[in-house]
Amino acid sequence: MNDNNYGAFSALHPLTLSIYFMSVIVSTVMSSNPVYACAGLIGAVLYKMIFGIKFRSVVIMTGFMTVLTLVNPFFSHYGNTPLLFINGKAYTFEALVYGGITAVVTAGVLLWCQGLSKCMTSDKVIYLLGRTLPKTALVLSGTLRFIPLCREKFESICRARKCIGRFSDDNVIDRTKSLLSVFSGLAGSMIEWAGDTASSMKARGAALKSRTSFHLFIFTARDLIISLFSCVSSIFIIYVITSGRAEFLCYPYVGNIPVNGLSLWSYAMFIVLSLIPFLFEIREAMIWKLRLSKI
Amino acid sequence: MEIASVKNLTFTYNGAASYALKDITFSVKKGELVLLCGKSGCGKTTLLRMLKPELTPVGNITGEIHILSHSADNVPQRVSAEKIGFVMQSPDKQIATQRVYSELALGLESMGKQRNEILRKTAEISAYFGIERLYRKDTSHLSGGEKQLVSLASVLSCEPELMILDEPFSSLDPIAEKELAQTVVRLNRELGLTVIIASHRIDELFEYADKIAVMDSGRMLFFDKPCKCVFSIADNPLIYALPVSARLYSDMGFKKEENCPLNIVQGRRFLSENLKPIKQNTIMYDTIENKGETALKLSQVYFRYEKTGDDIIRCASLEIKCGEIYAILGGNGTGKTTLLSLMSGVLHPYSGKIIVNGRKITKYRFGSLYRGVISAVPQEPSEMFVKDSVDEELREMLTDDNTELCQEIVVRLGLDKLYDRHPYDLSGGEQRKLAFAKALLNRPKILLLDEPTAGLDCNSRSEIIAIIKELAVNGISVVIVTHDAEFASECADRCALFFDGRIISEEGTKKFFAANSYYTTASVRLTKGITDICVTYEDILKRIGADKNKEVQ
Repeated sequence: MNDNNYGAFSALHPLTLSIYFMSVIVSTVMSSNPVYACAGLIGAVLYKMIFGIKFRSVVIMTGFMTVLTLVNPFFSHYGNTPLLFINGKAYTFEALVYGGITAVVTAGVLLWCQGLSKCMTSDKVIYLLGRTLPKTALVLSGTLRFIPLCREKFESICRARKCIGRFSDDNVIDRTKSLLSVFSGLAGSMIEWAGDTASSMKARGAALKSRTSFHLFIFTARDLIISLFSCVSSIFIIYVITSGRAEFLCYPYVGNIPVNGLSLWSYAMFIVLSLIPFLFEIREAMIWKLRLSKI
Repeated sequence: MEIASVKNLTFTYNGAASYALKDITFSVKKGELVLLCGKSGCGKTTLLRMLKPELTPVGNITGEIHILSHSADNVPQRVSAEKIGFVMQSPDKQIATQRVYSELALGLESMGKQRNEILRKTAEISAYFGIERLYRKDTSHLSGGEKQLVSLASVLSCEPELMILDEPFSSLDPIAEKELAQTVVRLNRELGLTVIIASHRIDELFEYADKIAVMDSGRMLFFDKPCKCVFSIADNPLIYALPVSARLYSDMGFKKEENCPLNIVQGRRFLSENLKPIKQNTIMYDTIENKGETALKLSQVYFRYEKTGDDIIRCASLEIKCGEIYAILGGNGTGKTTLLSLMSGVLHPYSGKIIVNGRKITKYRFGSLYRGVISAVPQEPSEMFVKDSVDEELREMLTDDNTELCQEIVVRLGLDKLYDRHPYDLSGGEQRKLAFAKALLNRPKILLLDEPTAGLDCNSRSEIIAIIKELAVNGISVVIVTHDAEFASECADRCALFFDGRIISEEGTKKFFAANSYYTTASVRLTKGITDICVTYEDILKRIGADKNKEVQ
């Protein structure tokens, strides 16, 4: 059973992954330009598509985006092209467009965060912490182990109590009483468990000073290239946005998408940035196909 | 050279009325393998923890303890962490991290070793134990045996001089137990590691031990070579824990200690030399068939946990009569507990019927199934406990008509001395007894037990066997899922082998064990091919008695 099977991109060094995702998310969030917004969303969607998308999630996401778009004009009444009048307030076209862009940006950020949480497993997070705070990392590691354990223990205790007739869900009051006693048992059980784990850690010297942190991550040339590119492109993009060269105005009238030397470069860089994970996976798949066809 | 020595050690827990350890004296030389045994709660864990400074309990200590040429209260922290390894009973609770490699590196990280050295040491230890394929795995996906192996490897990566194991086999099935035991012996023989191991199941290690230590109520009764053991504790009920071969030697009247057989091979040699060869290969005393009503019936039951997963239970059928004791044996992780959960109504099959006392299990509404019909004791007995004292736990089960029963059960299981204790402070065996008592107080017609003897000493086991037999006489059916072939052979009326998702073989107990070669008792392995197949030790004694009678005639 492969425990970390989320593609080739997730196998990169945790530092690279954190730098990349931070760059792409910050850049997406800061944009109010439809080019950035769409590029960000498309990159995230393509990356997610590699691992299979359920029809249900597509429906939910589209619905969410539609709602965001349509709701914005109810709250923002700037803009000079009213489409409807509701309660005397204008439902303007500009606000609709702005809502649309916000929806795309939000959806993009959400999907990137999903990708981030899949790639950055807990041991990677602990590694990043462990470089500077090894003891905290150890405590965190032990704690994180408890979370799925609690859930399983809760279910086993419910079952055990049921089988001796001490768990009744005939009515609300009985059920609440039974659940409360299960929770108290769970709390005691978890404290006991934590005590044993702590003893085990203490027995192996966890209380000693000068602790180092072990990990299996190797920083390769690929990691260096991707980290550098992510840093450079996000800094450049942020500079372009803040200097106003790629500003897209919605109010009072929907403006044109800025097309000048600097903004074109920033568009290109952003598109490349958001496509990195997708291209990474595609490349890997193609290499496999090629190798297999040679057999 | 002595690695650990204890002189006149007496220890009382803070606030406890009686001593936990009394006047204990012994010493362990470098490279020795010491096996520590005794009843549950006799003080084994306490004694072992006294030898590991980080885990020493708080209380009143008198006497001397010397470990690695330091006095116990003066051992430097670093030396203790590095040179004294301690493996605990529970495979799950010892693991502190999420990946096997971080677990293996834990001790080395504490020593402040650099990354390259940790990598090398963990690689070496993984290769030695054969667990390389587990290196990057998530620790929650390991089996019990694998977890214990990882804990052992983790402790060993720091290269300790003294290795202490506190009942490491309790939660393991026979195969995992054998593997772990052999690994421990290998460590002792190949690396010269000093090992002190406490266990209830001593058959595996008896012949390899340099010294056997027997404890009772906080005192050390015996501390000497294994061959002398069976003679020194002849009057003590602890003798039932010793290997069958040794007990047989002593019961047949032989006195020479050096010739005492310690394992099955030696036992078989001894038996064939001293018994008239009667190669009948018959089974001693067959069991009578139960012709009563059906209490529980499973009919072509199918079950799986996930829609896209494999069938865990595949067309399983069985029928249990009233007053019958039915044991289900099988390999680890095959689905026996799942089968028991189906029987207790906690899980529901997607196909097939389950009939309890003539009614379909789905027809029992509003928890009526658990009031006086079925009671189940889970594998982990502490899951039943939600109160703060044993007294409260028992009180919660009291109704008007079971107060007398409660008193009786409590006295028989020895729980009357434990009223004020918190359930989690009890030893593993005591917890199991309490869970058993609670299930009985529910007055069930069908009792389901999941591994009732794991971690239990032989006295408690005999007590539980006696109670189960009485329940059967009173018409209560008992279904037991167990790895313990000895327990099943002494207790059950019928035994079944669970494999491939269903019951594949079902026979009277004696026939069942006589036919098997692996899932069988030590007595069968001792006598098969030499004389009439004897399934339990009592059968062997009867056989010898019959032999003696023939001689007299």
